[in-house]
Amino acid sequence: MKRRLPKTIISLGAFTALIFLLLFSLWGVKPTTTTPFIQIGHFRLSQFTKGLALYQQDKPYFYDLSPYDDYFIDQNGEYETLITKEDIMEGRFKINSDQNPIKKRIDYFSSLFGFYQPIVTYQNQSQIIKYRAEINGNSIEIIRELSGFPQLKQEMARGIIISFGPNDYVLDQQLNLIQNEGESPMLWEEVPFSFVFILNPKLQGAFQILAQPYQKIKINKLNHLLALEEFGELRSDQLETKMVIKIFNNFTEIK
Amino acid sequence: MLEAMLAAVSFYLFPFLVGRTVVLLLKQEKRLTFTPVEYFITGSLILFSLTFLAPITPFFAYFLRLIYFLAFIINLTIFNSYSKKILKYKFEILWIFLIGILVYSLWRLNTAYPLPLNWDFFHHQTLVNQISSGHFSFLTTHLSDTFRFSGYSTLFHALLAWPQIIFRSEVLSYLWWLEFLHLLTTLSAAYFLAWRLLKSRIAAMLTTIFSGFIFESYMIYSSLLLIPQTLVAVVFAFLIVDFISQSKQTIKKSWLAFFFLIMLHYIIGLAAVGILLIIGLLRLIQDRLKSKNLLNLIILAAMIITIILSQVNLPLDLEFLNRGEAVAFNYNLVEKIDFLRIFSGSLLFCLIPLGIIVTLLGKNKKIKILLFVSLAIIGLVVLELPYTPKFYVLAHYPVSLLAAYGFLFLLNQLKNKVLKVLTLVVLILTVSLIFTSSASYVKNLLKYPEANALLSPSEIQAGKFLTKEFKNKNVLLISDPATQQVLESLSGINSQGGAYADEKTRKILNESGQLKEAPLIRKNLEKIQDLVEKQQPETILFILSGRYFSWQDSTIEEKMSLSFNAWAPKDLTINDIKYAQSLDKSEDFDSVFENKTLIILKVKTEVE
Repeated sequence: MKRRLPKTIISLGAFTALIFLLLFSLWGVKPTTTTPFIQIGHFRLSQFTKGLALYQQDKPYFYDLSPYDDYFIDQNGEYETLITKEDIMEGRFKINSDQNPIKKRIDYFSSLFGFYQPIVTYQNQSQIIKYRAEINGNSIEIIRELSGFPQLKQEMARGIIISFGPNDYVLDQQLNLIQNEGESPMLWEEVPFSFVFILNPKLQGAFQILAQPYQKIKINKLNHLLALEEFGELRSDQLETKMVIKIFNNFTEIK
Repeated sequence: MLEAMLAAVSFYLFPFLVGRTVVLLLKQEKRLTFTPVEYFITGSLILFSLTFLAPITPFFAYFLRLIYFLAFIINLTIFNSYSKKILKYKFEILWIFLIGILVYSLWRLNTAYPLPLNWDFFHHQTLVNQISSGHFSFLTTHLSDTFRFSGYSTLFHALLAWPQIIFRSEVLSYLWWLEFLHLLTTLSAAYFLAWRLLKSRIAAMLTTIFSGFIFESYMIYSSLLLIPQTLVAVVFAFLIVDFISQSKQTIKKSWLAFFFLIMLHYIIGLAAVGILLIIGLLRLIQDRLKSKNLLNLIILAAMIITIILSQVNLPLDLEFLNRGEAVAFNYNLVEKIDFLRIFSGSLLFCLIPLGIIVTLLGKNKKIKILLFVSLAIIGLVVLELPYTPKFYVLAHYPVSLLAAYGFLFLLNQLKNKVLKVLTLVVLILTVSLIFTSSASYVKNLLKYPEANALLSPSEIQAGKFLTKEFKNKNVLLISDPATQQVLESLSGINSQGGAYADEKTRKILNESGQLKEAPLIRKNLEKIQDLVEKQQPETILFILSGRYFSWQDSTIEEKMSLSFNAWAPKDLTINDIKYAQSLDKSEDFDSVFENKTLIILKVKTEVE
């Protein structure tokens, strides 16, 4: 017994040291990218403090999905964003992208194997806003979950928004240009189609925004925003809203 | 695929068989014992001298096939002594294949067969194309202006060319299999080194793991990219054993190997020869003085010198070196440590000190000499001078062994077999993650669209078109440096400098991007002149690719830099297509080919 005990302890000690050494080795890996992403065609999807964003490698154009843009419309027709400027200034919402280092490591390694799932959550004492994405082939389903919003129980329209660039083309189903048809007196105007294409002349490929049967497409030409708006009074203060984005790698695919 | 596999195997087998046949026929084997690597070296040099006949022998391909056939038959019949020996090593072969397949699968993950991940391959293939078309010179700069500096002879290109000439295999598939075989040879070298110095199978297995999974994904690329310096390193690793276990024969027969190493890469080869000579000298001193602690003292001195060298900062003006490219490849110690973190996480930082301590406390003199070798190379690597990290390619094998030695020390403390196996499983999982992260340093730059590749199928299609329509004609291909590099090597059509286009060409291309009128663009492009081919081109092809437009969008500093390129393929955007259409409508350009990645415009001459 006297001889076996120290051997077992040494053995376990060495095993612990080896496993610790290996985990420490992983910890020491210098990430080759600062932002984990999931690649869909030429586009990447990542989480940022501002929300989720679609973009292309080394290009300065970002298509944001953010609670700073998403809105409710009250009975007076006033637009109210999910998170206001005051909320941001006063830090009323806690954002999960300030996550712990272990989660960051896991995100990094899962991104390398294409398993990364961008999720961004905003939380205060009573409300939660969560954006996540489900990828299916070249389709991205952006799902926004709201919880603790009394506005959902009222008769208010609500919009989920994607931003676009000032030089982008927004095309309708017949590939006609929408946003350059002359300045509209209205900030938001309805687009009477079930889908539109957004295309940046300096980017490879393009993407399509598809509305669900219960959603309508609206465009804000001044601020370069495109919304999927839905209406209806709910019994709950929780809601899941979808935006379907389909990626096209080149113009032949669109045609 | 079979042809490509056979061609890839022949990269090693053909010189080996020729070398062995000649050595045995000359009965040199009785005087000196040759290893398979030395047969390979001998055969390579014999064939290299024969390649000088290529430009004057119209039947060179048949000539090579005949030599290969004869060498094969002679080795299979008269000198067949290997087949039984190989069976003795079936465990080793199986293990090396297993690790090789694991590493290569991770490396090729998300890259379709046979798309390449080796950028340097393109300019080497440009020279291979020249050799295959019957042009040959000892100097790379005489064959193509892609090479402006002769850092090596054309030996490496001849080695690459012979199997292509013999089998006429498809180039990309050949490279795919060749790089897998290169990985297997690096793993074999690591296994062999550890086995001969430590006489332990588990140590050899661990060394193979570290050699395969710790991939230096920037500047070094030991295990996965077949380039002149990585081939030098494999041969060097095999030769170290001979020099450490020195016999009288070693020096006698090593001059051939020295010559081979230097021909492959003048600087890295010379460093390898220097280190081998130092090992020889060290053995001589060790044998003469018979002092117990001499080696330990030498190692400690080497460590101190390495630390001092890492702090030296020479105030040199580097702009003159390699057209200013040198500045981009000069790193300080902190940056080099960051690279090591990308390649290995903290693994080497933990295991190497442990390996050093175990070595210094142990009695194995051979491993002590190997530690000295590692320190000597690391001394070169830490110097704050351009390109010094490239010397690490020689340290890859000794460092893998030292890491394995350190790991083995802890592993040997485990008395329970289950714990040992569990540790090895966790080790393989860990190094797989580290490897994937390190590989992403290369692959993240190469997204097209979701896969990782240096080439797109559309570019391959364009290469085939160019070969079919313009091969063996007096044509100059003009585009951004990356498109030139890729299409020149795929099609065999000449460009000015490929990715290494000179400053004048870059300035002309930059100006062309800013011009609006087609006649001005045409006149501008006509100013581009090849540096090797002095004859004026009969046809100029202007290639507007996604890469070209991406390059034009870069800053002027980036456009002038040799270290900047549009590495990944890119599809044309709407703006790019509009621009190409405007040129096509003019009287100066005619579109001859187009797909989603590029449009080839033929520049109309005045007569047309």
